[in-house]
This record gives sequence, C-alpha cells and structure tokens, in this order.
Amino acid sequence: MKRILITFLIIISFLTLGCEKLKLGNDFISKAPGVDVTKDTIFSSLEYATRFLTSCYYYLPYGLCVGGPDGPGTAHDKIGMDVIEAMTDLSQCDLGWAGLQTYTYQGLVNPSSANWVNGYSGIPYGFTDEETWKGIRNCFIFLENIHKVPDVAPDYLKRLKAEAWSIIAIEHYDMFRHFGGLPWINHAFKTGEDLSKFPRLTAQAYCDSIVAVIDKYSGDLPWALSSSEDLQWDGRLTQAGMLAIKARLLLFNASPLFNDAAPYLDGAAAQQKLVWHGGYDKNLWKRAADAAHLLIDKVESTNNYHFYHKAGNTYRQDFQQGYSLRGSSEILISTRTEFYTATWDWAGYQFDLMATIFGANNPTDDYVKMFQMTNGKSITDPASGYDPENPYINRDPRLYESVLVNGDAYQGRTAELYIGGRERLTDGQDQNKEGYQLRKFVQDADAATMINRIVQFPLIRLEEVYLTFAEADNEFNGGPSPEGYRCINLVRARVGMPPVPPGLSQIDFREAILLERAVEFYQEEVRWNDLTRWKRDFDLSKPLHGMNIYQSETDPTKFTYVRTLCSPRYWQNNWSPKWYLSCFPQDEINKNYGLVQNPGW
Amino acid sequence: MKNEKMKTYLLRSHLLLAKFLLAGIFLCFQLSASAQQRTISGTVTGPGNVPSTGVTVLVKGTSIGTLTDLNGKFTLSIPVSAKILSFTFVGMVPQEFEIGSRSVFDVSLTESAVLIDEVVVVGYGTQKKISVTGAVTSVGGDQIVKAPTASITNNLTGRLPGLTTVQYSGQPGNDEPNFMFVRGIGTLSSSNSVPLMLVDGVERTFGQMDPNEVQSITILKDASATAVYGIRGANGVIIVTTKRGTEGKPQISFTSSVGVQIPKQYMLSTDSYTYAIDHNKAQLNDDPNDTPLFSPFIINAFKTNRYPLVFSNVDWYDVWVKKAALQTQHNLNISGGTKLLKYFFSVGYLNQDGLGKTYDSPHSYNYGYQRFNYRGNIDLDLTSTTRFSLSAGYRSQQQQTPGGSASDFMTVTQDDPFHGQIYQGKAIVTDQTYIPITSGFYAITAMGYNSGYKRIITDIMNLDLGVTQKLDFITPGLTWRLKVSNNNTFATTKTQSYQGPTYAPIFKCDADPTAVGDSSVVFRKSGSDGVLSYGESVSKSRNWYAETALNYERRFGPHNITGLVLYNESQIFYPQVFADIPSSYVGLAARGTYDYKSKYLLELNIGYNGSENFAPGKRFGFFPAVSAGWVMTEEKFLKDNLPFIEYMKLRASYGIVGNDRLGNNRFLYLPDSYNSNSGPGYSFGINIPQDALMASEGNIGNPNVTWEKSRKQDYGIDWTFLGGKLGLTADYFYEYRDNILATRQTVPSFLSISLPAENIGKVQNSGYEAEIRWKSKAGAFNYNITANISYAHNKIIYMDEVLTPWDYHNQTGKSVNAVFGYVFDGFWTADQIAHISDYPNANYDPKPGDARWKDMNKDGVIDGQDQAVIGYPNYPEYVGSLSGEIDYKGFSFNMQWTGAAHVSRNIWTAVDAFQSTQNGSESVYAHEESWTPETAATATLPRLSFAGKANNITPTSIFMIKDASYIRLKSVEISYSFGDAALKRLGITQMRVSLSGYDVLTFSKWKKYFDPEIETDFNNVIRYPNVEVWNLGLNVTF
Repeated sequence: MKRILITFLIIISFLTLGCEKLKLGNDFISKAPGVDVTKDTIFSSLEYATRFLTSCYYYLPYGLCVGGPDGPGTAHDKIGMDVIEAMTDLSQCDLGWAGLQTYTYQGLVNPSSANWVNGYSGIPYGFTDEETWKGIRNCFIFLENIHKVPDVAPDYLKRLKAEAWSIIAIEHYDMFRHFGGLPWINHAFKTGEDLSKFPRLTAQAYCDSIVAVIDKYSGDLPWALSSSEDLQWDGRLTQAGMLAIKARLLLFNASPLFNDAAPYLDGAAAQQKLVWHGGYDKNLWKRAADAAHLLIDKVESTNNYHFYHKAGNTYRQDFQQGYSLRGSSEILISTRTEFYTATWDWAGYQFDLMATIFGANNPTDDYVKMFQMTNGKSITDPASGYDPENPYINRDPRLYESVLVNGDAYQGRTAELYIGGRERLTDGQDQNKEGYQLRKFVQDADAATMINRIVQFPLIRLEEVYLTFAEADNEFNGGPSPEGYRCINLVRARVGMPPVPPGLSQIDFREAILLERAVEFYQEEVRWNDLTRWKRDFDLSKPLHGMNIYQSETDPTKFTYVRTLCSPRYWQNNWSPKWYLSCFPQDEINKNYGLVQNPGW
Repeated sequence: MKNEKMKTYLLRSHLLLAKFLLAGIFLCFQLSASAQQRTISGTVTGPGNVPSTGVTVLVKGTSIGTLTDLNGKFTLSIPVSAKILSFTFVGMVPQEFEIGSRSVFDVSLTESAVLIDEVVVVGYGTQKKISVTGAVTSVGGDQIVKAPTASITNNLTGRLPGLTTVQYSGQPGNDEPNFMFVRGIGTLSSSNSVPLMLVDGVERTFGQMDPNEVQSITILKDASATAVYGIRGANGVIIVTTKRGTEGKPQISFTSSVGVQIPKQYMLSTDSYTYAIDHNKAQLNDDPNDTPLFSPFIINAFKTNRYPLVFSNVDWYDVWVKKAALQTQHNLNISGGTKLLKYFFSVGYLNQDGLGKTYDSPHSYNYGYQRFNYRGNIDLDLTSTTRFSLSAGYRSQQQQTPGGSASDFMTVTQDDPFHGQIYQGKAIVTDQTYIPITSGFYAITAMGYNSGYKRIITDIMNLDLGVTQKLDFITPGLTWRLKVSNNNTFATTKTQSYQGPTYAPIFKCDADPTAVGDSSVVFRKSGSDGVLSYGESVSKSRNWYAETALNYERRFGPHNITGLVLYNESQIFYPQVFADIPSSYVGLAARGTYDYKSKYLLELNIGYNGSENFAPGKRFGFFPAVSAGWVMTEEKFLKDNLPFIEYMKLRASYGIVGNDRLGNNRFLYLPDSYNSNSGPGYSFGINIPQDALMASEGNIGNPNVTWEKSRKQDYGIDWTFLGGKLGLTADYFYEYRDNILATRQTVPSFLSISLPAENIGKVQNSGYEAEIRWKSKAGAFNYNITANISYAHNKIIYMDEVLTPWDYHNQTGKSVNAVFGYVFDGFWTADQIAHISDYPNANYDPKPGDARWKDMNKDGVIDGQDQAVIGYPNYPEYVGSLSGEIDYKGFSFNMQWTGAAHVSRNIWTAVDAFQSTQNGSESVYAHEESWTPETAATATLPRLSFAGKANNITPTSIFMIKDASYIRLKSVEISYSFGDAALKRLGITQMRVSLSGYDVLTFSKWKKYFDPEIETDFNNVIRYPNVEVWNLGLNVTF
C-alpha cells in the first residue's frame, strides 16, 4: 500500500510539474499584455506629443495616389487608385481594372456603392475613405490633452494648438468642396455619447466656421518657417499657408455652384441651403478677393515667399523645380506621405506606375491643345504660327513639364510616343493610350526620379493666390482691374509667357484665368473644382480625345497625327449636375443622425 | 485511525477481487455437482458472420452457464431438466431457445438498438445510454472505416444527425471540410460557430487521425450535454474517443487497402477555336464595327490545328490533372489484456498521390501526402482500485504542393488555351507576335512544372497520463481521477523553388530573314535553366491540459444516483495572437443525475468557467442546464396495452451555455490603447530621407465585454418497436443567443473610432433531427436501413445593422451569411429596350441579352439598395442520409446516400468569361449558357460582352450564386468474410475482402459544370478538385 501511495505521489508531482508554475482558478488565466502606452504616456512628453501631432499631419490631403501603406480604401487612396484629374477633361484613365474605368466611367456609382466599390471608392471624394475625419479626431485628441505636457513654452504651445486647429480647417475645407455643408465636430468623441443628432450646417455656416478657425488661430502660426527650422520641419503649417487656404475656400464659396440665383440642382439639400446659399451675393466675391490680396500684400512686403526662380534656370526648370523641390519658395503648403525607401515599391510609387505603365492617368489631347504658343496666342488662332505637322514646338513651356510629348527630351533620349515607339508599343495598350505620357510629378519616370525620391504634394502654391485674386476681383467688379491684370501676368511672366491681351471682357478674362489655372496646376487637384464651382457641364460632358502618332516609314523624323476618341464616360451622354458634388454613402444616410443626401443622388 | 481505515479498505478490496475471481471461475468452469447431465455445444456469430467471443450462454433461471471462446464456440454441461438457453452479449439482442433434445446451437446475434448496459460518451465521462437525457449522437469506429476517405471528417455528414460539413477541396493532406457545424450557426459569423473538438477529452483536431484508432465519434448538441463546457459549449462539442484494450488474448488486426482517387467534375475551359470565336463575338456584341481581335487566319489555324506549336490549343486542366491517382492505407493494431494490463497498439500509414501530371520534370512537385499514425493506449490496474492510464498518439506527416501555392488551380482554370504547352520537355509560351492576346496567367508554371515544390513536414505528439482511484473506503461508488495531457507539434516547411526557362515558338522565316517562306518552327528561349533554391521555415505548438475529478455512482434500491465534480485547466503556449502570452482557460464542471427505477430521469449539469478574453469580474460564467427523461415503457399501463413498443423515452432539456470567441482576438477587454511609434511616419523636412515618427490612438476598449449567452431547449423522443426491429429518434431544438460579440455599425463614420467588440447581437436558431432505423432478417439475410434528416435554420434578431427602410435589404431578420445580390428580372429584349423609359433607370445602355435587374424598392433606379437575398448561405440547412446494409452468410453490402439542401455556392470564376482581365480563359459553362438570340429562351447567363460585364457579371446575382443542393452516394461497400477451417489452422480468425467507394455518384442541378461542394469566389480562390475514391481492402484478424 505504501508503495502505491508513493507511486501516486511521484506521478502526481510529475504531472503537475508539466505546467511550470501550477496556479489554480483565476490566477491561472493569462494576464493581458500591459497597456504600457496610454493617452497619459503620449501627453507626458513633448517628444511623444509631437509624434501625435505628426499623425494629424499624416491625414492632410495628398493629391498623388499612393495606395497608402494600408492598401486601397485608406488615406491617400484616391478613386480606386486613380486621381481626381482623370475625372476632368485633362486626363483619361485607360486602365481596365481601375476604379474609374470599372465603375465611375460606367455610371455605376451610386450612394449604395459610394463608400466602397470592391475596395475602391468610385466617387471623387469618399466620405470616409479619405480619412479626413480621422485627421480631425486626432487633432481634437491633441488639443484636449496637449496642456498636460509639462514644460512647453507658452508661445510654442500656442503654435502647436494653432497647427492642430489649422489641420482641422484644412480637412473641413477639403470636404467642403466635395460635399457642401457638413456636421461640425467640436471634440473627440467617446463611446457612450449621444450620437443621434448631427445635422449638416448650411454651406455658408460651414464655410464661416472654417474661416473662423483660420482667423482665430493662424495668427499663432509663424508667417513662414525660419531657415533653421526649414531643413527639418519643412511641411509644417504656416500663417501664409492658412491664409491661402482661406482665399481658396472663399473663392469656392463665392463661385456659382453655391452662390447663384438658383441651386445647381433642386433637392432637400439645396432647399435647406446645405449646397446653395439661397441666392446670389456679389459680396462673397469681395470676401475672396480681399482674403487673397491680404496675403499678396503680405507676401510682397516680406521676403519669404516668391515664385521660384534659380539663376541660370530655364523657364521649364523654374516651373518644374517650383512645384517639385521641397522648400520651394512658392509652395505655401506642402503635404507629404511617408518616405519610401524601397526600390520600385508598389505602394510608394503607385502614382508614378499607375500614371505611366498602367495608363490610369493619360493626358488628353484636349489638354495639350490648351497650351498656347509662346507668343501667347491660342493654337486655334490662325496667326499663332501653330503647325499641325509639328504640333509640339514653340508652346507654353509648362506643356513640356506637364505632359511628355513625342520628340521631347526624355531619359537622355527623345520620347517615342508614336505607335511602335518605346513609350507606346502598340495602340491597344493602356500605357500612354492617348498618345501622351504624364510628366508632372513623374518627370523622367526613371530610377533617378522614381526610386528613393523625396516627394511632396504642393497643396497650394503662391501662383494660385494671384489667380484667385484676379478671378474674384473680376467677378466683383464686373471686369478685370489693372491689379487683376498684374496678378495673372505675373504668373505668366514667370514662365516667359506674354501678358494676356488688354481690354478683355469679364467673361474673356474669366476664361483666361481658368485656362491659366488649367495649364499651371495640372495634377494639383485644381481643375476638378474649377469645373464644378463654375458648373461647367459643357467641359465635363464634351467628348475627349487622344492622339495616334504614326512614324513615317521612309523618314523616321516625320510623323502623322490622327486624333482619336477617348473611351466614353457615362455622364458625357447622360449629364446630371449631381456630379458636381459627391454623394454620401447610403449607409451613412440611413444612420439617421441628420445627414441629407446631396441633390440628384 | 487512518491506518485502521486503510486496513479495512485493503481487506475490502481484496475481498471484492476474490469475489470477482470466484464469479469468473464459477462461470468458466461450471461447478455443478448434478449427476443427470448432458453436453450441448455450438458457435455464436455476430454481424458479418464474425465469431462472437465472450457471449454469455446461460440456462435460464439457473446459474449454469459459460462464455464463448475466441472462435465463438462453447460447450456446456447442462442438467437434462434444463428448459431454456439464453445468449446475451453487450450490444446484441438477447436470444432464447428451447433446449428440448437439441444439442447443437449455432446462433447468430444481431446488434441491439437499445441496451441496458450500452454506454455513450458525454462531457467528461460516459453515461448509460438508457439514462441519457441530453441530445447526444454518436457513430462507432466500425462505421467510420467503411468509406475510404483519407480524413475521417469527410465521412461524418449524414452519419451524425445534427452535424453539417462542406468539403471545398480534395487536396491530399488538405481535404478536411472547410467547415463543420453542430446544429448550424447560432452566432453572427461562421468563424465564431466552430464547435469545440476534443480527442479523449482534450482539445485537439482529429481530421488526420487513423480511422482504425477511433472507437467512436460523439456530438453533444443541447445545453444539457454541453453545459459542462460552459463558456465554450454554445457551438456544440465533438468528442472523439480512441480505442482501448479489453481483457483477452491479443487480437491482431491487419488492414490494407489500395484505392484510386478520381477527380470530380471541375470547371473546364473552352478550346482555342471556340475561345477565339466567342472572344470575337463578345467584341462585336459590344460594337458591330469593331475589328475582331482574332483574324480569320488565326481562327483557321486553331480550327485545323495546322501549326500546333505556334497556334496551340491545350486544355490546361487535362495538361496538369491526371485521370486518377493512387491511395494506399495500411493499419496494424493489437489489442488485448490481462486483469492487470490492457493495451491497444496501432500503427497506420496513408499515402495519397496527387493528381498532378509531372511529365519529365527532374523535380517531383506533384501534390502528395504521407501520414504515419502511431498510438499506444495502456491501462494498468495497479491494484483493484487503482488504474493508471497512458495514451500516446504520434503522427508524422508530409504534405507536398507545387512551388506556387494551392492557387495554382486558379492559373490552370484561368489561362487561355493558346498560351503555351509542354513540348519535348520544354515549357512553351506562345509568342505574342502571332496571337494578339494572352492572359496574365501562366499555367505553364503552375503545378510546379517550372517552379519547384513545397513540403510541409509535421510531427504531432499527444500524451495523456491519468490515474483513477476508487474511493470506496470513503463511501462506496466514489472515484477520483487525475489526467494531464501535452500536445506538441513541430512543423517544418521546406520550399525548393526554381524558375525554368520558357520557349517561344517562332516560324523560321520570322527568326531568320534569309529563310523566306520557311514555316518550320524554331524556339526562342527566355530565362535560364535555374537551380532549385532552398528555403525553410518552422513552426511549433505546445498545449497543456489537466483535469481532476471526483465521480460518484451508486444505487440505493430503486434510486440511482451519479455525480461528478471536475476542475480543469488548459494552456496554449504559442497562441496566434500575443504569441508571447500563453492562452489559458480554467473551468469547474459538475453533473448530478438521478433516476428512479430507470423510469424517471433527472439530470443537472453545471459549468463554471473563465476565459482570458474578459476582464476579471466579467470572465467567469455560470452555466446551468437541467434535463429530464421519462421512460414510458417502464410504466405498467404502456407495457400492458402497447406491448409492441419495446422502449420509449421522452426527453427535455433547458440550459444556458456560452461562447467566448471573436475570431482569434484575445483579451477583448483591453483598455484604450495608444501607440507611441505607430508608423507609417511622415516625411517632414527638405532633404531628410527618413520619416518623423508618429504616435496614434489605438483601439478603444470595452471593459464590460463578456461571453455570448445561449439559451437552448431540446425536446426529444427515443423509441423502439417490435423487439428492436424498428427504432426512432427525434429531437426538436430551439436556441436563442444574445450578448453576441460584435462591433457596432450604426455610429456615424465621422467619429473615426475603431470600436471595440460589444455584447450586442441576437440570433435565434432552431430545427430538428430525426432518425428512423429498421433492422431485421429474412432467412439468412440480415439487413438494416437507416434514414435521417437534420434541419437547422437561424435568423438574425439584432446586429446593430444600419437598417434601410427596405426589409428585403436588411441582414437583420435573415440567416447568418445569407447571400445578397441583384434580383434577376430577365434578359433585355429588343422590344423592351425600345420602351426603355418604362423600366427603371439602370445607369447603362442595355443591349438584348444584358441582365435586367429588379427595382426592388421601386424608386426608379437600380442601385445597391435593390440587393436582396438571392441565395442560401454556403452551409446547408438540410442534411439527410439514407443508408442500408445487407449481410448474407459471409457477404455484406452496405451503402450510404447523403443529401444537402438549402445551400448556395459561389462559382464566380466559371461565370466570368475571359475573366476580369478580359483575356483569361472562357469556361465551358459560359460558352454553353451565355445568351444568344437563338438561346434567348434557355440561356442562364447574359450575352458575351466586355462592355456589359460591369452590369451583367460583376454584381452579385443568381448567375454566380448557384443552388448547391445535392444527393450523393457517399459510400458503398461490398465485402466477403472468410471464416473457414483452413484459415483457422493458419491462426486466422477472420479474413475480409472488400471493395468500397467514396462519393461515387452525385446528383445536383449544376453537376454538368462543377461539383456542388466546390467554391470559387471573388478572391479567385480555386481549389484542388474534390475526388471520388474506389478502394480494394483486405482485413485479417488473428
């Protein structure tokens, strides 16, 4: 019996030792991993708090589609890996499986699919896909906690807060242009709060709320970054940048989309003045003009910002370096994404790849035709000297830096955009299907420009402020003023273009400005909103063209040019003004917290 | 005092042992002193003409009796006055004979439906079947071995009413069902509905066990049966019990089988000629002025096969997939024992060849699977009251796949037929100069021909140690037990990849300008002869389990009482999430049963256990279940008036069980978290090639989160009639689960919070199972027929869904995983298009043969809100089976038909002609079923078109969601058992040869195009075909 007992004891001790430390009951249940980083950790040091502010910056609008580190459907993922430019007359998406070709061009976008069409938002602006709301939430968390950080100099604390408020303003202004008035959020929500009532503000009230934030806080920002700060912190918001955003916002607000005798399309949202001011108010143009000129005055009386110019540069080089170089003196707000160190990284250089190899962002011939001859005359003008047999010479230098045209210098050789050339092997392939390749941002599309390149998105450049003033002033005064002429001609002179003809009518001057904006700001998310705010349905529904270029079999320097039709977009034949604004996802409407769908959707 | 007690105990136990031995001796050696004796003898056989050993042969009313020997023979000396001879054996219908002057009794026993002593496996123990009041179903190992499947899991549908399985793939080593549910789904997702699976009481998978090791598989269905598993009992429990030795001479059983696996219907593609014609047709359907991609010259080349290298025409499926592959299985096991030691040893081997063709490749890259199963189960009775048990299971397996991945079949299915071929050992890829398009898929490198292979070698060791101590000295009927288990797994994945060269066939005249008009073919090589590279990765797991229990079992006159109290702990050392923190459970379980004269039965089950997923204070749950039974046939009024009812029991149970799972998430209660370095970073500065670091908000916590709470009711009846010939079991169940873990959907998106799981969902699930059995004999024929049906239907009551005003569009109120899509309203006709304004605006310009969708909400627009339920979920609501068996002398024939209904399958790939790339393969299905003006009345797919795809094929609709109901001949077996004297002289007790088949016949609506269990989906997951198996088997018992 004793032996048995001993055997037992030995067995039991062996068995229980199988578990290194025998614990019973609740003690046995694993402890959760320590949540060692809490809100208090983040806001106990300036280092961590700054990192948190950086995560607010991360959600700023970034116009180049990079797919985002988290894949499609997250921040910086555009319309199904396409960019908004391909919704306009300037670019065409030819990639069969891209969001635009698959859904948007087919007219298959509707509120039920708006938020998520097979992984992509099919509308110009996804209500949640752009993650602007995430940026706003981060800012409020920052604002509500930054006071806990010890030992921050009061002025610097003010500046940090102003930066967060400015990001909130930018996120709202970005959405304003695509939705009209939206619910106004004033703190970081916690679970358990009553979420049943969040009506949209009227367009005017929403705009005013954003302006109020800019007015209240931009003064706490430095006018420009000091040269010592620039190297490390270029990209942080400045007073000049926020004043530029204010001018752009007020220009949009004053434009006929909202500011007109009748709404662009009737519907509940228009009746409730969420997407219409209820009538025409000329003074809104004055507000915009004043905001722009205040900035111009300040710019011209200080020495921090000016159109980029480097001694010895050609006009082309000035234009190219002006938008692409970090620290460029004409960029008022530069936004970024992460720095991609990988070589041909799918996510990091997606914009470049999509635009070139995949053909999701092919410049149209209609765009190329917008560029004047260097003598300032349109190519349709018989006196311009335009030669249809040799169409790409003596044009506005910005053409060559926006669009890669056949025969231009490229990768140390000349670009071969004729069918069978190295840039366009066959006429059937998506790459450069319209006969042109994107040059802006992509540049030479080689290792030097695509790998380990430090890129940025110029959210707003100084040129635009001048054009904003010229436009708003023209509308307020019923025609161009000398100051309006000065502003537009400054922009043209920077690239060596002659002044616009004197004595233009209000309408002609307006057209000159919109054309100037189209050729100056390609791929900078300007054109789409120019077309929508001016309700230019004729531009949005006109058929678009590409160019088939054939090399002569006898003389390789000779080419023939055959204009082709781009594949159609649904709305070209079935136009509805509803396209001016994006729709809200139906689910979001159905949550019944007060979101009213935009007209027509 | 203690010593005294111990002595008493020792004495008692010795006395008991002595009594036992005496009884045995008494039975075996007939100690009768009577003078008027005569001798009778005979042979007793069981089902299948197998000799029955250990059958009690007794002269009724006396203690004169014996047991049959190993050959089923007995000899008995009886008084001449003896009247009736009875034969009884556990699991058999007792038989009685008048003795008269007969002296030879050759008796054949049949299995009994209800037996007094039959036990079934229940949670943490066994119970007499007669006293079970919960819903429990089991199948014996002898049934499981009848179908020649590599994984026993594929053999359970229909055999265990209440269990549903769906098998997506027949890939060797990877053919276990994609899902297995007990009574369907009761929570909001299929992944959280996985039942608890136990082998010998310890959580383990059993799909790759040798079927010869299995004693029984039991499913516990209602709350009464699963309450002891408490927080993890809500999804049902599957318990596999391994075989153990019984007292007797060593019995050696050798089984060997060789079989062929034959692929079942697969999604095939059209040939080059058909493809080219259809591709042109699709183009012209869109734009009659378009230039067809395939020129008449190419089409003619395809048709005449004049240049088979340049204009090739291959069926990739045929190129890569064999007609059949071998499968062999061997098992040797020995069992037996003495009073002291009982043992069961088993060694099994399975080899499954893959269906891939390998040609003359230097590397064997075919699919394949080899498996060795070892098991040793030993019970050692140290004393008459102490049992020491060891169960050791070891498995070593190797699974091989081609270098790519399991998605190779995607390439094979989606590559176009003129893209290349294998020619003289060369991987040919067609040159694009000659053929205008080529799919982006490369079947030529699929199946490893040009890419190498991957092997996963896995070793799994299970070790259970246990002691059982009878504590009769404390109080009679009390037992204590302790068990500790370890499961260790070690897996190595070896990848040998290789990129071989490809060759493009070129006409010589094109390759060499001087060879004008020479149409012979030369090859242009690309890539170089690669070498096999080697890569390796390892993974491991270690799980620990321990339980200790007190068990009580005693009869006081008519009162029968049992009780159980058990404590257990388990730990997974390398969980998938938070791998550094072991994952653990603790639990306390208790059961009490009471019956009065086996007539009125009452049972109480309780689980009290804790899960690490919830916060202290919220983690321990109390799960009670009560059940009762009434054996009506024990009542005099029934016995007297309805004597044909042999047995009848009514059962009812109610209880609460839980579920703590939300995917693989752990510690659901974690507080709000922040991350101080959260990536991806932001590139401030002018020329700094690195990012500024980011800190960010993480998940929002929910400290109140707790388990899902399921309330289950079950009402059942067990019935046998006519001396056990007819049996019936039926159960109705109703489950209401609330507190289901889910994330809120109705909060405004602008909150931008990643919300935590909350206990918000509510699902109701109800259904029934019914089984009817008939067992009888006609002359020398013994036969039985069993039919059963299971039904489970669930409904989402609440899921915090964003509700639309349209009921048809809301998931709430529908089944979990119900398929939503556009509702087909017919194909557009030219006439309708002429009056298009009469139809809702659908944002596209239809052409005849395009799909027209129904405007469900009648708002004049076809959009996402018109999506309604268009199909059943991918798991069947109905599962049924019909099986039968006939024995005649040595012959035996059995088969089992199973069927499933109310189930849908997505066959997206087969529907999408030319694939999303618009230049991939065209399925035969799309070719034959697409709309043309001629087939307008019968077509099941829209017209061939590229422009119309986004409207026709891309939206989820009945075009891709197919009714996947089926009836299959799941298993069939014919066998013959030899039992003659010649064999016996060789020491062979029995020899059996059999021919069996698995999944050999299928009836389903879409059978012509695909197997009803195969699934493809938007992610283009296309799997290895399912297989049917024909098998020749030999079983020898010594």
